[in-house]
This record gives sequence, structure tokens and C-alpha cells, in this order.
Amino acid sequence: MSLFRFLKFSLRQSPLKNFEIYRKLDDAKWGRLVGVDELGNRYYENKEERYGRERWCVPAARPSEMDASQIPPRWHSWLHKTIDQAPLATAAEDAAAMSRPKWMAFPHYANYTGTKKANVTYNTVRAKIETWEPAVAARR
Amino acid sequence: MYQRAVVARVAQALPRVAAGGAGSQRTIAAALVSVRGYGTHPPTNLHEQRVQENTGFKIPYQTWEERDATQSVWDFSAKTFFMTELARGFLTVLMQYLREPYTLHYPYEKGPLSPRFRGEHALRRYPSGEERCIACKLCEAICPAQAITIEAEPRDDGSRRTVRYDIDMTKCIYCGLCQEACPVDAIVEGPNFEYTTETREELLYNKEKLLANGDRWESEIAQNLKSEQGYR
Repeated sequence: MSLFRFLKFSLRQSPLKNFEIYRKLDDAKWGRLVGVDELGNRYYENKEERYGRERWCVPAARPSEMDASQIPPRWHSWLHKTIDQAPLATAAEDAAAMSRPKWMAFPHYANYTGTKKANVTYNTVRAKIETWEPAVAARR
Repeated sequence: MYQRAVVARVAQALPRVAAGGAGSQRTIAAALVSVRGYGTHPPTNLHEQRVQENTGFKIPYQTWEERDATQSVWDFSAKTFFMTELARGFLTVLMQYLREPYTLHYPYEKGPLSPRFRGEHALRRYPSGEERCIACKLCEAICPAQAITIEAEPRDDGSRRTVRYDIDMTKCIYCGLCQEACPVDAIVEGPNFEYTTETREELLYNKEKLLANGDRWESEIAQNLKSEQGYR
């Protein structure tokens, strides 16, 4: 059956697409394209897949730069099966339909750890004490 | 009723035992034993055990002499000559390689997540951009791990806001009491759990980081809160 599944997958799409999917997902998968988010990640669904594997994402990033945190919030909840309703198919349509305040982070950014933008904590209050600055008294 | 059933079963068992029995007393006793009512010795279930006679499984041979006796020399020669075991082994490996995995392919397929999931903390804003937190310090008071530190000051416009809102994510136990204590839904535990860091220092969140988390995840946090509104 697995050989049958492999052949079925291979004949569904062009060899170029198959190569990309095998390189990125390491598995044979085909399905309906549900939408593309603002980062270019593509989301697919196939109800015939085994339970729990029906929804998946083909990331836009190269395999060396792929990360789990690159999935933006609402697609994240769709991929996690928190909701069934996916955001609108293209990022432009979705942005137009959703009134997004300016302070919301858009486009989504990934976890910055290990890069120069990694979170560096700092004190957000002003100092409560006056520090003593040692100075050498002038020699008389 | 029960006695009648026992008598019927004894009557059934009688001819069986009588075939090998001698006296009538002994026969009836043996029949009674063979019925095996409650509290008698447990029956041997040899017929259910996985012995060779029941399963049909047969060890091909244990010695060379036995093999010569049980297996045709032509069968053995054919197996050796065509190396069918090797080919069948390769086929097994190939089928296993192409087999659909039983596991989720995690970064691309994700497991189901509840809208009540308690992940990374975030400080939310009102749609106008005003931060929700009013520095009531209820979350700081209820935090069982004492991971939250808050300091408050009046702002220039007179409203009381936090100047320090630190969460030590290495101390947090993700119990969700802070978001339950919050009267204005300011501190929430969002749906994100992919915030692993390379250093411990990155997990000491200050107010700016928490607000940035809120700005980043607000659309999904609002969605989850809306879907849970009827149960709060």
C-alpha cells in the first residue's frame, strides 16, 4: 500500500512540485490549496489523510531557514485545528477584510532567538537610589 | 433454577465419564467434578494455550539432520541459488521507507490546540492602542511561582500604569491564574508555545517584550477569547 501511495502522489503533481514537497516536508502529500499567508507560506488540506494529518503548511523559507514559529497567528490557529474557518485565501484579501489596528504586528515575524534581534531584557524603571561615584581626592 | 441447570450439566457429563469409570459412586463424583461449579479447581485451558498443535506454527528445524529430514533438498537449493531471502529483505526495507508515518510531521502539521491553551504570556491593548493593564497587581499577588514583578506610577496624563511588568518565564508554571485574576483581560497566556530561546536571559521578559507579544498575537488571542466568552 505504501508503494501505491507513493506512486499515487508522484503522478498527482509535476516532478518539480514533488521535488519541492519532498525536500521540504520529507513526505508525499497532496491536497487542496487553502490559502497563502503574508509570508508566502502555503496551506493545504486533504480530508483523506490520516486523522491529525489533514492540514499542513509548505513553508516559503528555504529548508535551512525553516522554523515552526514562522506561521502567523490566525493561520496558526487553523493549522492547530483550533478553528475550522481559515483566513481568506490570499494575504491581500485578508488584510482588506480584517480591519487591523496599526499597532498590530504585520507581517508576522518568527522567533528571533539566535539572531541579532533576540530579546535582551532591560530595566524599565528609573533608578531609585543615587549611586556613589568614587572619586580620588585631589592631592594637597 | 441454578440446581436444575447443574443437574442438567451433570446428566450431560455422565456418559462421558462413565466410559472410563468403574463404580456408579465414582462415576457420579467424577461427573460432579467435571462440571466445575463455582469454587472448584480452575479448569486447565491447554486447548487455548499457544502450543504447536493449536497454532499450527512449526519451527522449521533445529538441527541439520532435522532439516534434511523435513525439507526438500530442491527447496533449499532454490532458496540458496536465487537468494530470495535477500530480495524479500530488500522489499521489506523499501516498503518501510515508503510507508506513511504514524507520527505528525511537526513543524508543518500541528496537533490540535484548545482555545484555552496557556502558552506564552502577552499584554494586550485596546483597539485604540492604549494598553489594558491598570497596574492592579492582582496577577502579581496570585502568582504561585512569584514570577511576576510589577511597579506602578502615575503617567503624565494622570492615569496609573505599570512602569515595570516583568515575568520570569523560567519561574512561571503556566497555571493561568494571572489571566484569570486580571479584571481587564490585559495579561493573557496566548496560543504560542514556540518561543524557545538559546539563552536563559532571553526568557526574562519585561514589559516591552510582553506588549510586543500582544501586538504579534492579538488577532488570535482575540479570536480565542471570543470563542470562550460564553464559558467565562
